[in-house]
Amino acid sequence: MRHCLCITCAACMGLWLASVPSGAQTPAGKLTTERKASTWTPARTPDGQPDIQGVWEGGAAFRTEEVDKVQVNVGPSECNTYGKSAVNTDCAAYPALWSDAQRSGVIEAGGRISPGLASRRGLVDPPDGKIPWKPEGRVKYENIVRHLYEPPTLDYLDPHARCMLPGVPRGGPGGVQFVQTPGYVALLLEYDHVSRVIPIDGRPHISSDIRLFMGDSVGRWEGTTLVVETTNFTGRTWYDMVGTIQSDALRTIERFTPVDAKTIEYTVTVDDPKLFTRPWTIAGGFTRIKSEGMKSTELLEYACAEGMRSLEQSMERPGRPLPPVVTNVVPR
Amino acid sequence: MEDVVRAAGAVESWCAAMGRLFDDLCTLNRDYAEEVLSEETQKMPQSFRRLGTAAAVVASIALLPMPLASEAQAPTSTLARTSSDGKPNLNGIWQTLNTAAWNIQDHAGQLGVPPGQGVVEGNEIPYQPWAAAKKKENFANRRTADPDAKCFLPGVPRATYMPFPFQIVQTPQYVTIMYEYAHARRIIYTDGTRHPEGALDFWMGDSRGRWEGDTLVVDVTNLNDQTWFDWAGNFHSEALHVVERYTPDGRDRIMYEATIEDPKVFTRPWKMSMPLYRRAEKNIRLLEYECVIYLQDERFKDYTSR
Repeated sequence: MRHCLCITCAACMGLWLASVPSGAQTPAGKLTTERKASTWTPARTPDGQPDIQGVWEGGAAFRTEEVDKVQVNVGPSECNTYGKSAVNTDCAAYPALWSDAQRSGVIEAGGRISPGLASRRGLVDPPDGKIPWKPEGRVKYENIVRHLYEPPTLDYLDPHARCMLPGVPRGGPGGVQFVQTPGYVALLLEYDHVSRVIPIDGRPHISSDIRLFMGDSVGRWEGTTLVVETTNFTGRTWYDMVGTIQSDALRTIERFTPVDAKTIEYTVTVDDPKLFTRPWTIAGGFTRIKSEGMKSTELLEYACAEGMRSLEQSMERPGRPLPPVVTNVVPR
Repeated sequence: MEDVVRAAGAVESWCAAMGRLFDDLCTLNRDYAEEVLSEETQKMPQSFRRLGTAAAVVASIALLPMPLASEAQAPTSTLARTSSDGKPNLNGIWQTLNTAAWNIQDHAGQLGVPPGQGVVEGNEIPYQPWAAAKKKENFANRRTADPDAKCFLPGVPRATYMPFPFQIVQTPQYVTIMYEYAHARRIIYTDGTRHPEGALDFWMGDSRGRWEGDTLVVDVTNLNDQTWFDWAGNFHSEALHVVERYTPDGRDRIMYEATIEDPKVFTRPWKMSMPLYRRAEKNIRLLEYECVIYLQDERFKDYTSR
């Protein structure tokens, strides 16, 4: 069924940087990372950067309470609210978007929560744990959510479903390989072979005339924290699969802090004045991919566009043919 | 003859510094200098020979531009090297400057197609008879039959010579290549590991590399049969095996060679070669060419389901 990819494959109102999100939320209001006093210091690369190389899994996730209250106009009226179970009711043709387990905040993917993802802490600022929408931002967001089932145009379709580059901080399922060389930290996501090559040589951002789905990132080390500032977004990417939109005014600040040999604490502050009244921060972390029982932890190729069916499945409607395929315009 | 030896060493350094473009010139001058020196030393008395020798050497060397003082002492490498393991430093943004993307063989210009001298050694692609016919068919249907018509990943080595830059991020264990085109990516494992077992096929293959002197040799397998070599219909099967050689030639150029082997399609292996040039602009970075999205936007621009 056309939306099964969007809906049933696990994520609640979560976002992934590099892997599937998981649940447990700590009390809202915690801004700083919890770190027991430790004498651990990271190893260094030959050029003196804290060495965070390797294959990791993780990211940050948050939960949007408000989605439960948004009305969706599809099918009989009793099916028109997210969260209703569709089993054994007339709503069976319109499966519930969220199972009870998902709404409880314990998000499973593939039936298992990876222990390495337990450090997800959710939306830590503002202290009430709610996304600080501006009224006009909220209107846009609810409009998208209302049409998630039957996107009228591509703008209503989950960007992942059309193999658009996911933006920041959303990544995608799969691990992330961190590679460091003098002047650069590269984050290689397995998802759709997305590569974030972050210069740490103090260069300025590119001009605002060039917009990039992944934005323009510049980084620096502050002690053992890698701080990455990203601007120049297109406004076409989302935080998650359920319509939490971004605008082209977005700036993000990510902080990666290794706290022991196999843990990186991670926060991302998003500042998007077209949509929100103030910046807000989500927190999570990365752990090293465990290699026991695996032949290899090497990233595999995730060729998204080459195998994509979800766009056509999501956009086709009974009695309305899809527009003809357009081919690449190369002079030949 | 100490002075001659030292002067000959200076000539040698200069020649190494100027690169093989000046090979012929260097050989001529070196031979001439030695011949002159040999004649002059025969004519002079012993006590004056060292002076004459030095003067003759200076005179002949004066004809040539001198290398920097630091390079004049002994031949030195002009390659940048990594601080971690001393290998040639391939980090940076590179791009080809040819028309192989349109056609890897010699081709004249036509509307929209820049002319080019081919990158195939001998200009011949040794197709088996059935494959030569298939190539012709591909060419006739290239506007739709080329996987690039859907903006799919270009495969290896096509990604190298698409007219877009790529970035190399290199550590002792990995030489990662990020291509601006379709954000294609390859991780070349230089950590001594082998190709994966099992029937895995990838659009961009699986790459395992090792250094032979200052050349990075990359073995590429696990390619699928879904890519072409250019926009002219040159193709391969899933049996394709590519061996690349990246040989830095100074700090700003890499001489690249790819040997193509596919016993299902060709009668023998064949090679293509081309320079890769460093993109020297300050603060250059890869941008995005998200061809798949552009096609979707164009296809659905007037479409709404309401």
